[in-house]
Amino acid sequence: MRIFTAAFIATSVLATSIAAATAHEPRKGPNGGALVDAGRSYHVELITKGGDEVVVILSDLNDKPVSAAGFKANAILIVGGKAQRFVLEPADGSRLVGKAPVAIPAGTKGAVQLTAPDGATAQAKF
Amino acid sequence: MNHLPQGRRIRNLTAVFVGLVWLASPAAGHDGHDHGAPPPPVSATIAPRADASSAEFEIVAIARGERLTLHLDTFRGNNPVRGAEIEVDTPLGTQKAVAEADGVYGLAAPWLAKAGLHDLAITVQVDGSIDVLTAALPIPERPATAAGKAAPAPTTSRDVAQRFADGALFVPKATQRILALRTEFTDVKTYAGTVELPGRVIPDPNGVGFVQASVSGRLMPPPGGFPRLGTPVKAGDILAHVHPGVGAADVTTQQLQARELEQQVTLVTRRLDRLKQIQTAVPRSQIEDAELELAGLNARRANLDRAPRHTEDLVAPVNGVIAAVQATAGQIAEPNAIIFQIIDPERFWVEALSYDAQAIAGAATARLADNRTIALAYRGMGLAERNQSIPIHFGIEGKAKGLRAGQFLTVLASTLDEKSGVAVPRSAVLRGANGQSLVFEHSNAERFVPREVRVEPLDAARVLIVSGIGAGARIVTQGAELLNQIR
Repeated sequence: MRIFTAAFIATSVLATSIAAATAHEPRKGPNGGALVDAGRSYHVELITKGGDEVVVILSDLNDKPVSAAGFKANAILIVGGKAQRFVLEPADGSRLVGKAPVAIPAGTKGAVQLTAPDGATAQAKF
Repeated sequence: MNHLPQGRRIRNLTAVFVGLVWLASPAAGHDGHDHGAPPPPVSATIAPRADASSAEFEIVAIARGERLTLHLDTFRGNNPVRGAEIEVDTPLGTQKAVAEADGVYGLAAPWLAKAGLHDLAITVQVDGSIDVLTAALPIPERPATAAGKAAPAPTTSRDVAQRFADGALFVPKATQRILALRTEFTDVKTYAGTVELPGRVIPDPNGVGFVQASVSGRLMPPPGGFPRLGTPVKAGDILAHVHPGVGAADVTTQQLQARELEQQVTLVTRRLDRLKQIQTAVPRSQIEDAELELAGLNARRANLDRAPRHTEDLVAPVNGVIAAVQATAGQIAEPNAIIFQIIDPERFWVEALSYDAQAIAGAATARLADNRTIALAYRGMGLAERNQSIPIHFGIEGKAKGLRAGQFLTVLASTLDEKSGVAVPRSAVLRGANGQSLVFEHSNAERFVPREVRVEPLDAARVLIVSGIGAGARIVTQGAELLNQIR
């Protein structure tokens, strides 16, 4: 692991700390979907099986499940040259489930936007 | 808070605004090419921004007051993308961006007034390809004013390019557009070896002609005057006349001959008259002989008068244009002196000198002093040495404008050995302050990093980077010189 940290401290009280991580190249997830990093706090696995049901499974950085209760999520998936937008609702455990207007083939590219119960947002790009 | 699992490919986009900053950023790879992803620069003058890239597009989102400006370029070439349909999933829902300029799109974004990290999913659709890019745009807290109210959002209108201590450059997209920076995606390939030879433009041996006088004489212009330099002429055109001059000794000899001939004419005329008076007593053949002799003598006398006045026409031996003129009316032209040189401007060859016995493979290019390049085809190689070198002839492929015989150029001929490396245009390779060759790698959307390289000649337009950079990097190929001037 390579980290280089640059710290600049100035006299002002204002301090901004921003770093957005965008993951590329989805990995194979434990449930057979595509696993990527979302923001700084989550891993997101996207499972599409050819039907219109889309399942997103949340986990933390150590791949421990995170309860999906209270989360809000939007999916923007590219199917047949068009962007399909739909909402994902929390289901049991760490799953968020949504119904797409069209059938979503496996390996679809797109993005999922998450809003945590505390209002923090994160994005996952597949 | 900074999370970096071992071996995972993470691309970190860090954007920072005003002053105080904490930055942590991992180095990362992306689709097999290493972005390096170092932190973007820290400057008090740049507007809050975020960038995102996919295999096809690169987008930079900049917050200016309550307006979001999007710069969309192709990922590999850094060409502005025109006519794209962009939808941004903002905290206020999905918004469409409208085109503002070439490759620049904008949308009203009142949500930018709120500090914090705004997640944007940007859907780009252009020419049948569609992509979703995600970016996180950080908006800093605004310092409170004396009245206790938040100061209005800064509307920084201009971001300034700058160079950092490590030599890397921050170049805002707007500046990249002005400098017309273009990149190429590197690829390692095997190329035929190349040898650089000094060369010279020569006329095609079948497309050059000299006009010389065969007799010494006075040069006179044809109707319409002597052809000027650059005049197109056809084979057979009369370019000048030569009036042969007659020397003083010749004149004396001619006068002597004339007197002798006149004397003989008088004698033969008398004899003929006498013979005619006694026609019955002499054979007819005698009279006829005398008549023939008289006619012959008269012809010789007339010829003697005409001979010095007969002019020689100088004609063009080949089609072409007049390349050299040595003609002045009334000038005495010596035999062998070159009065006109005619060259066919469509038919030039290049003669290169090789100091080694090279095995030339055939294809070659030539570079002129003004960096223009011309394609060459191998014609032949001399076996006899000339000044310790072997002349190699090449024909010029197609039409090359602005060439002249004798012009110097550099010939890059391919040899039979092979080399592998990254081919880049010559304009991509710069000379660093320390004399080393370097190229600029487009590592992030608005970041350029100088990379030391070792180059070898490839052809007239390109060089081969054999070390210093591998496949999968974006190298600045246009505008690198301008980039190098940023301080």
